[in-house]
Amino acid sequence: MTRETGDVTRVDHGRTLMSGEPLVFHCNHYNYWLQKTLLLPEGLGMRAVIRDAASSAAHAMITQAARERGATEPAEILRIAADCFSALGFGTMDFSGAGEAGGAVRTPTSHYGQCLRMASGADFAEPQELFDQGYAAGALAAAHGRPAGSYAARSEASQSMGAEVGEIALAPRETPADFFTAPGRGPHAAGDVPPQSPDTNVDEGAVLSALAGLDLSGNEEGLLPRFGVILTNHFANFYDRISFEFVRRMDGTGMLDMAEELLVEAGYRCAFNTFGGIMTSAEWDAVVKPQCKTTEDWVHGMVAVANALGWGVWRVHELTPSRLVVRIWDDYESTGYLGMYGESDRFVSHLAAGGVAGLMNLVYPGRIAERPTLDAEYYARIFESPERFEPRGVKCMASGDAYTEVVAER
Amino acid sequence: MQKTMEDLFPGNMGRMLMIRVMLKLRMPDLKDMPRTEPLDPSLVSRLETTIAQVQLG
Repeated sequence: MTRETGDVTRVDHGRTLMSGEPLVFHCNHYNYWLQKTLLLPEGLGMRAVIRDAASSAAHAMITQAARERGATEPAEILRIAADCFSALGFGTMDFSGAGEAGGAVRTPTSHYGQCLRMASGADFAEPQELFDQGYAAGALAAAHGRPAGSYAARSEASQSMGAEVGEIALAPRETPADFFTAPGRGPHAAGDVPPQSPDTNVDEGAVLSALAGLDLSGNEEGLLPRFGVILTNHFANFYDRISFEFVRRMDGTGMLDMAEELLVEAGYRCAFNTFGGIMTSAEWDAVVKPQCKTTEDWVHGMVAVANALGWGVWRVHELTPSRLVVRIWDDYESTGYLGMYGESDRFVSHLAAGGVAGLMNLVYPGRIAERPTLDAEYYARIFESPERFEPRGVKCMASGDAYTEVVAER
Repeated sequence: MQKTMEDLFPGNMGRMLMIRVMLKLRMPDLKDMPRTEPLDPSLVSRLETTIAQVQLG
C-alpha cells in the first residue's frame, strides 16, 4: 500500500513530527474517555473547540506536507490529506464531493465513528466524529490556500449513530476571531536527558530498536488495530488544545479540580487499556518479557515502550513495590501548554499522571504478568482495591520546572 | 427506603460517576453532601436520570 504523506521526523526526547506537527500514539479507549469528559458540561462550547483544534492541526500538517511533496493543485493536496488521515489511523476520507465552495466529505471508515463504540460499551446520543469534521475542514482550507478556520463542518451522517458511511457537510465561513493556531513543536527542553535507570534488566535501547521495526500505520481501512486496542497516531496539539481549553473553561465553576481529576482518569483508562494491551501482547512476549527478571522490570519495560509513543522521555527515578517516581522530559502536555498559553501556575500533565498510576496498578495489584482479561470487571477490581496507586503531580515543565515529575503511591 | 449518595455512587467507581454527574448538572455542591443521609426523592430522581445519561456512550 503506497501512501503519499508528509515527512516524518524524529526529534529529541522521543518526539515524532509529521510535517512539523508533533504526533502521539493513543488508543480508542483514551479517545473515548477524553471526549466523553470534555462533552459532559453543557454550555462550554467544547464541540466547536474539538472541531477547530482538529482543523488547525490538520491544516498546518497538510499545508507543510503539500510543500514537501511539491503539490499545488487542490486535488493533489486533498489526496495527501486523505493519505495522511489513513496513515495516522483515523480511517478513510473521500473528498470527491467537496470543492472550494464546500460540499460533502465521506468517511467510509472512521476511528471516531466506529472505534469509540467498542470502548463505550453503550450507544451514543450524539455524533462522535468531531475530529473528522475538523480534519475535513482544515484539509479543504489547506487545499484551496485558505486560512485554517475557513470552513464550518457539521455531521450529515454519523457512523457512531449507526450510519453505514459517515458524511460531513462543509460550508465557507469567516474564520472566527479566536480561532486556535496550532503551535507546531512548541517550546521544548534543552540539554540532555539522564540515561535509563541502571536498576533494571531491561535494555531500553533494544526495546526501542525492536519497536522501530513495527509498522504502526493505518491498514487498508485506515485503522490501526494493535495490542488489543485501536490506535491512532494523533496530533499532540489537538489533545492539548481540547484538554486545556476544557480546564480553562471550567475555571470559576467550583469544579476545576474535579474536571482535572477526570482528565487524570482518562489517562488512567489509557494506561489500563493500552499499557495493559501491550503487556499482554505477542510483541511484549517477544521483545520485553524475556528481559524481565523481576516484577520491577515490568515497570521499566513498559516505560521503555512508552518512550516510543511520542509522549516525551520517561525516566524511572525511584521504584519500590509501593511507590514510583517518574520524571518526564518534554511531556507533550507541558510542551503543548507552553506553546499555547505560556507558563502555567498549575500542574498540567494529567495524561502522564494517570499513566504512571495506571502502570503501577497493572503491575502490582493488577498482576498483569499473570495475563488477566482486560475487561470492565478487572478494571473495577483494581480501581476499588485498597492496594491501588494514586498519582500526584510534583513538578511540571509547563510551570517552569526542568522536567515533569509524577509520584504514584499506594 | 430513601436512597443516599452512597447508594447512588458506591465506592471509587461511584465517586468518579458522581464527578461526571456533578459536571453534567453543574452541581459542585454534590461533593459535599453527606454520604449516608437520605436524599430528597426529587433529587434522587434527577440524579438517577443523569446517571443514565452519563452511562450512555
